[in-house]
Amino acid sequence: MDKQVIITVGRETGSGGYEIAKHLGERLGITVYDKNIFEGIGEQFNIDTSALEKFDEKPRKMGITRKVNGYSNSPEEQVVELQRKFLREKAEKGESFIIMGRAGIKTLLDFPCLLIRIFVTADEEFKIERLCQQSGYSRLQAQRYMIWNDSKRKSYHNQFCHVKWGDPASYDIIVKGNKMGLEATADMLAEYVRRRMEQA
Amino acid sequence: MAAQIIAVVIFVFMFVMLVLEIIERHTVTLLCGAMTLVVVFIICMGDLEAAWNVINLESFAKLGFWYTTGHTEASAGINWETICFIAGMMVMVEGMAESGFFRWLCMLIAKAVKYRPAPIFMIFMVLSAVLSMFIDSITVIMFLAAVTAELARLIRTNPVPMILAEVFCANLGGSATMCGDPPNIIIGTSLGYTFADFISNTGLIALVSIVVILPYFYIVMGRKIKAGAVVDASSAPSPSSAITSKRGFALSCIIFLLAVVLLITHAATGLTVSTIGIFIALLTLVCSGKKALHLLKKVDYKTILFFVGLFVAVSGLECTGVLEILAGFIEKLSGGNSIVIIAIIIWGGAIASAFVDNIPFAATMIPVIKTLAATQGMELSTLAWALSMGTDIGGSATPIGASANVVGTAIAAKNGYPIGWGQYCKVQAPATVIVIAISTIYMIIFYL
Repeated sequence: MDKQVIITVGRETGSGGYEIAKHLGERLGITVYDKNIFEGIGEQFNIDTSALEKFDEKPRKMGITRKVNGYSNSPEEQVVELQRKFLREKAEKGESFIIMGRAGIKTLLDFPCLLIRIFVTADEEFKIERLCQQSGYSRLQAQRYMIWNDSKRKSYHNQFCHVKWGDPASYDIIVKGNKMGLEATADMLAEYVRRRMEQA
Repeated sequence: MAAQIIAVVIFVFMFVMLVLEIIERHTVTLLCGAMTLVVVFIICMGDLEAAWNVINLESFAKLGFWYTTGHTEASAGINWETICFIAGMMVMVEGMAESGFFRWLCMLIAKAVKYRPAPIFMIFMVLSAVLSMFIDSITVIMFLAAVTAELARLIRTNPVPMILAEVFCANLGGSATMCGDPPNIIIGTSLGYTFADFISNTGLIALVSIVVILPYFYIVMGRKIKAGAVVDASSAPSPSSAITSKRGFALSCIIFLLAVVLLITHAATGLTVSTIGIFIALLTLVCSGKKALHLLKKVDYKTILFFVGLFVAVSGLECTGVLEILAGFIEKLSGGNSIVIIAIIIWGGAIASAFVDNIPFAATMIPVIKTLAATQGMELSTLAWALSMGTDIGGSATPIGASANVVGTAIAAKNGYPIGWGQYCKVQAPATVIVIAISTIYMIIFYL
């Protein structure tokens, strides 16, 4: 890509946010960082990240962790710090990429490049069906999982980003993944990104 | 009565906010300190003079702040002696860190033992305890744990056992001297004890404890550490590469040794710890030349502000008589039995410090032990050593109990080794119980 673009993708559980981001990455020819971010962190900082992965995208547990002189013993916060450091170094090298959640907005908001903030939502029925198909959940289990996981994501995002999760003011574009289908939504978003790049 | 209730409410609010960490801790104590001054002293008590006395600025003008020849007892209010000493040591430590002193020392030791994990494990524990006797344990662990993680990567082993042992020993070493841990500085300056008083009391208890704790950690963790790689000394980072400036390094070593000598001899010279802190800070700044401003900027002002607010909030409890009520409660609970009083102070202090910051706890308990000593006819120093051991060691039991634990576990996580409460407490809680038990038995045998 000629110009550097960084795209943050927030998503509701079951909305197809990851698939849309994957297709969008393919259309634009850029890397999508999701759980694979740990491989990059491990390589870049020469550490074994296997014990850290379970703290990914989880809010800090208040009361049982402390912060002293900028050192926090919350593994959740340490994971966020490592991810932020990794992403900023990638951004400083001029790399274009998509970051799924992971407090990406806060990390890259002041970075001098084109930053596009996307939030993917979907109709409830669509999300429940996808979860049932993907995970073998019953309808009730899917509903419960959705509420639990979204509440966790919201709490994580609001704790580390200082802007509200899913709030239109925090994003450039909010799409419902089920209205056009996941691939078509990715096409539309790719076109949106290209236009923004032309204008930038 | 209203003043007492409000002072307690403000204090409890402060503790809850410190635990929750929604806002920074210095903001919490300053806010609560301001509320204490305005609501408790001015509105409820209508005593402007008491409010002014709590600020305690006149202490700078007193001879006892700079020079003393005997035991003096500070009045309620901001303990500027503690604050000046801590600030002075911060400046000195920043100077030492800048020159690469800590990293050099750790790398030198690792090289001397040929990068073998078991000797590194044992020597770093002792190093952690010895350094923490003179430097705050946060700084000691900040450097020791970082080098430990680096060495563990080099010899391909898990750094967690080493970091946990270093953290415990830093807290234990800190309990040995007046300047090792903030509760000791507060106890020493508030009750007029010297470095020699601490080293010959808590220092001996810490010495007995470390003789037991070194084998404990070796048996529980040290003997299981295996190196995944044999390190060729020529390929390992050279200790001298840690030194950023040879001149700065030499000067910081001299200043550190001078600080140690001044602290050890302060009872004989009559210099107070505040004078020593201010002198050492000025010397560090003069020697650092153009870097002086940079050093001053790196000083942790938030901690200093935290202490200012804390002392004011505690004064609210002291001046309204709440702490006398607490002392009366301890008297009733113990039935006037000295052994029970000592046990309550050590074990109560340890349990409280395991879950809440030991600094506010120690600051709160000082007026309580003064009251207990007066009403029970007990030696104040005995109660002071009990409070010191309880608060200093109790903090080791959980990952949030002491600042060194937080820094150590944070560095481990940053290097890919998160330490959960279960993993932490499994090793540290029994060690804490062992040392607290040793302290209790020692005090019963030698002090009662």
